[in-house]
Amino acid sequence: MTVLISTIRDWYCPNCGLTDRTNEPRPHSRFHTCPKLGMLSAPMLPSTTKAKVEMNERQDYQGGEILTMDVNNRPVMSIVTTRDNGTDALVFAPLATVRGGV
Amino acid sequence: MPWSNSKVFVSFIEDALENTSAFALAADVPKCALYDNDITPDNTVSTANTIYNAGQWTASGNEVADGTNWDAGGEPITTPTFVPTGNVLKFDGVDTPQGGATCTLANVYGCLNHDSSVANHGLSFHYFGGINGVTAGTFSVIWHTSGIFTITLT
Repeated sequence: MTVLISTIRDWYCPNCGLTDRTNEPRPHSRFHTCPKLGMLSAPMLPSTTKAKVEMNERQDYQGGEILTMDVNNRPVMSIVTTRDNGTDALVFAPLATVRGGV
Repeated sequence: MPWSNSKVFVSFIEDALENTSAFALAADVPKCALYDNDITPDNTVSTANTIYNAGQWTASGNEVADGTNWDAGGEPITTPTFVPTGNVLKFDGVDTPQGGATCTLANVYGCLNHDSSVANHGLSFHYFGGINGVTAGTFSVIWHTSGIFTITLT
């Protein structure tokens, strides 16, 4: 007898309400461009997980830094997922630059 | 003064052009090490002080790692590329996640990118703009859409 294990996973976004379904046996995550998070690429959550997903703006002056900006031109520092049992973070690093000329 | 900006080390460019250090950015293993807010990064320091675990980048009391999932010394920046487009040279890589399942990290303010294939020579540092961390979760550094660093020749 062969036991078939379902690989179908349902996903949702707690901010914009988008739902999706994947059929992938390997561990994976799901992202989407979220209109409620400044059109940034934000994680979707497994349908069985209750959590919030928030965007955090940069906490310091922008100065001459080249940063990731959202659709409203606000500087983004991170996207944090807060679950009952922990947090996940996507932290956006600024671009470092060298400029030279003669 | 603590973190304030993101920079490429001057000595990295100097050592590359003078062949003091043999960088092969697209083939080496650059790593991303995380730091708290106790340090004052400076891109004009000597080569010896760009190196991981030296100068401002001394690990003890400054580096943020859990020893298992975000290693001391940093996580590797995979698929590094160094490609010119017009007058811009771009160093880039795949976004850098933790190595293990879950981790707990606190007080992460920025990162040192260093070349572990070249005696941990510092390449660049990046200020995240505030305090970051995770609890029993996943931590990923998302590089800018324009790359990790660029060199623009005007």
